[in-house]
Amino acid sequence: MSGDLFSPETLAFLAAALGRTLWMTFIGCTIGFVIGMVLAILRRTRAPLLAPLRWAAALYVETFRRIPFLVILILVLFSVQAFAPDLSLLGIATIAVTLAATAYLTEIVGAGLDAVPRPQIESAEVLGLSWFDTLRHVVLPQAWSVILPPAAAFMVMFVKDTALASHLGVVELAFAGKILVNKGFSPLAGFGAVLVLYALISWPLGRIASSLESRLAASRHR
Amino acid sequence: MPLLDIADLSAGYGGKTILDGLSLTAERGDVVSLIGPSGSGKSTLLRVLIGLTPPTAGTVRIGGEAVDYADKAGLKALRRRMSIVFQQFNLFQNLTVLGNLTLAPVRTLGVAPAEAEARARDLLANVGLADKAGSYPDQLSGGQQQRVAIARALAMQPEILLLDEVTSALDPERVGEVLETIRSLASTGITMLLVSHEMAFVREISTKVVMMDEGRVVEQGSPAAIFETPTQPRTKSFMQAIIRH
Amino acid sequence: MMLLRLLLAVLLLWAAPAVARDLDAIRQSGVLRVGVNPNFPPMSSYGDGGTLQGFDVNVARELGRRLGVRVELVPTEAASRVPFLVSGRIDLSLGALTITPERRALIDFSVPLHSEAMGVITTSRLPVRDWRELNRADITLVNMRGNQSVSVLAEKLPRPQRLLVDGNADTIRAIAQGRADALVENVDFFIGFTKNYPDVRWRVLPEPIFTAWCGIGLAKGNEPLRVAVDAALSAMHRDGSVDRLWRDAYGAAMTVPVSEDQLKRTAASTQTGYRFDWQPVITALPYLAGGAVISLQIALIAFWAGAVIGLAAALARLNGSPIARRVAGAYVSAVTNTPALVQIFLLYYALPEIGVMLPAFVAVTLGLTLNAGAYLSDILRGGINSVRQSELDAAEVLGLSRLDKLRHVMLPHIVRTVYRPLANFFIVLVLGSSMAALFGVEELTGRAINISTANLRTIETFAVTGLIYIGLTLIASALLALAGRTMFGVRRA
Ligand SMILES: Nc1ncnc2c1ncn2[C@@H]1O[C@H](COP(=O)(O)OP(=O)(O)OP(=O)(O)O)[C@@H](O)[C@H]1O
Ligand SMILES: [Mg+2]
Repeated sequence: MSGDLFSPETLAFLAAALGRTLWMTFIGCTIGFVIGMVLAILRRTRAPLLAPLRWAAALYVETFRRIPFLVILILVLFSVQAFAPDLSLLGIATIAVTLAATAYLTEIVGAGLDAVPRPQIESAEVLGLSWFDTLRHVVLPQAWSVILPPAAAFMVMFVKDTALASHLGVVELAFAGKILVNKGFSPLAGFGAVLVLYALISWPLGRIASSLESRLAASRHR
Repeated sequence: MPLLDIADLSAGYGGKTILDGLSLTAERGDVVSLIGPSGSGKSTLLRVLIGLTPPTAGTVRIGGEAVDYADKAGLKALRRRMSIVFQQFNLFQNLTVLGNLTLAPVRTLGVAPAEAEARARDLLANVGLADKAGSYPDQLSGGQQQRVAIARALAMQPEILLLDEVTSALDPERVGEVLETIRSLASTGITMLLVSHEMAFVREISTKVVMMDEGRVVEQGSPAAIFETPTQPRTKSFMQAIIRH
Repeated sequence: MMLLRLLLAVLLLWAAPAVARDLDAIRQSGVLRVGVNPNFPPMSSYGDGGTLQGFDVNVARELGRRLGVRVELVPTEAASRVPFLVSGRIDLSLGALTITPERRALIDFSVPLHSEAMGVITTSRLPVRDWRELNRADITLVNMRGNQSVSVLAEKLPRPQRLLVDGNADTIRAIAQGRADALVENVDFFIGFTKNYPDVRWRVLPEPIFTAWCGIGLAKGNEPLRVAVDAALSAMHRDGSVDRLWRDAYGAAMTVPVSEDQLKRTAASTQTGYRFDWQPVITALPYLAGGAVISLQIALIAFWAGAVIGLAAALARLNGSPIARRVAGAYVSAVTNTPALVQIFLLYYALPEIGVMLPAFVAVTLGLTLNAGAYLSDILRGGINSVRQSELDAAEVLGLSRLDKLRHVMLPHIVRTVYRPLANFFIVLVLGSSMAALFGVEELTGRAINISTANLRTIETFAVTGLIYIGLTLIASALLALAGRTMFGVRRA
């Protein structure tokens, strides 16, 4: 198979690998965003009853932001073995992405919630709105425009970090480069092709993320 | 029996006493104006009354019933009878004018959406903004936003309305329209407690003027009494400072 | 931090139902799941059609035929073989699984499948005739992490330096590129990769150093399955099937064949399940701590060198000539839009093609430095931009000199703006330095991989490693915050 980097087989192989890269990133970050949202809101509750949960959420965030993603990947690989031995490597890597993304996205969502001016919340309070109504009708709609741009930027960032999943043997883009090189392509060609593919994905996505930022910054409502 | 009866009320921030055993009453239909130097605790008093800052001592009675500020249900009941308008309007930026006016009645009073909307439109007409129902707050001028904020407070149908320097954040040419709104409100018989630096206006619409300093009531009486024949030296010096100004 | 341990313990408690399947369950499902290495020709590798092929694959198929079940191949990296067996993800593991006492503590083995005669692959560059002559400190031996050969070498050839890599192909590449002088490994397995480098004059030293035996791995206590596999495999040895398949793959007979004696084996123990054993990793704590120091070194070098590059790039983008602006902008977007890992792949594997050979430590640190430069240039540019024109105007009106303006107006402001992002980025670098492990640098993660492949206590080892990273970054954050407060008046968030 060595020789033509642009043969249909090689291109299909790279496309499939790229698909896995995007899948891990998108699914992991999306689930991470949802959980991160829950954790960020949880951390901003006041009920004494929830104190242990607040404490656990804080510990979770602190822990997973201080462990290298590579170490998280390895830990997930070996601990997931215990209860889901049939899960694919791609699934395992996606769990690792989710765990890491949750920690970072909790912080991003939290910063967005904190950016809603205090008087907005006080106004809701004096109108007698419940905690949940305040969250749903006042805080979240306003936090949204502050949360989305960095969250999108984070997801674009993470496309690159998933390259480490190659260590588990997930045939994503970086591992695809390794396989090509092991099949006889020169490292420059194999890894170079992969590098270009990453750039082709990351650059436009980054553009979209930052245009999102300026679009949302332009209008405060909606 | 006074509608609002504040007795020996104290409050503060982080151990610092701001309100220091303050007592004050208002009858139904009264327009009570709070005046006094900056930092005397006027805003703090309103925040304590509406339950945003917890009191450290004293009681507040509305229609003879003591308000329990430590209790969620107590606060909820309080906020059905009392509403507040802030200096900075604090309209919900994510909602239209109509949304701002209907959110709380629908969610907390259980008013049907259609009814809430009809009432909101009436209120908007009263403050002269019938055509702005679909606008977002950042599309309105300061004076318009403040009138919406007043309408939003009224949408809760409070017996007592608190107004904290509602004209201070406005351009001078916008002050008049908001004062006009309050003036017409006063004639509806609602009980109001307002903080204002517009002395001519205070004098015109108040039934009672309260001079505050260092978290206490220095002197209170009819507008004429406070503005023309103040008895306390502190009130006198305050009046002189304003006139010189 | 106990939480992590707790978390893992909980995860493993859940584990209870997930155990290896017994023979009945396998027969019932009709499918035998066999782990093979996806990157290990001619044992097993992806063929052109994307299907796995090779000696192991053929052995697995033949075994399946004799056991009356269909074979499902599960790609399994070397380090995952034992955990996958223990958890029951795979029923059998192939892939040159050497029979060792450490592995016997966790899994069972069939009778030997093939021998593993350890010899020396080198090039004409190294003028030695016998493996004993390799015991010199000026020689670098390349090894594949996780292989039995690592510990054998430590015993028989203690002097040479060692270079650890992750894949079979990487070992031969390391020699071809001159990073290492020789490979001590099963010659049969590795010689095939030399075809990728026809320009190198490859040599194999005649006498094997040591012969080990590889068996088929099974979960512990799965006696009926083991008996069935032993019976089938012994029959395959006796009727010449194994020999035939070996010749198909290697073009020659096994250097040391499996003897009849070895086919008559004794029963293994029947203990099952996974028990935590923290002792091996606790013993290795000083070794891990030494790795943490190297991690910090990488992060510090990348940070300061990156700061210099970043400042230059930031100034070029703000005040440079149009060309300087473009170059700096292109550098930043090229680096920030591609993974650091792939950049380092290129630095490490592709640069030798043009004659520049960087040691792993240098390649990784350089890669991280380039990244740091790009990201720090963004942070610094933001800091410089944050100086308000009104403040500069005020300074101008007050008649301050250019230098005074820089020292008293601009710098304090810039430092206060960028300090916290810089400190955060340093933490990112400490975590990012773990990538070095994938290139054989023995920093914290690399050492964790080393000991976990030897002691097979992966979860314990990496849980402790995670805790070390947490401790390291907490201390770094605290010191940086303290320095920021006392030296630059940076307040807490
Ligand atoms: N959230 C707070 N935390 C701590 N101190 C506060 C807070 N809000 C107000 N204060 C202090 O309480 C005192 C009274 O403030 P308050 O706003 O009630 O005065 P005021 O009479 O409304 O003044 P002004 O006329 O300037 O609005 C001031 O000294 C102020 O600094
Ligand atoms: Mg005030």
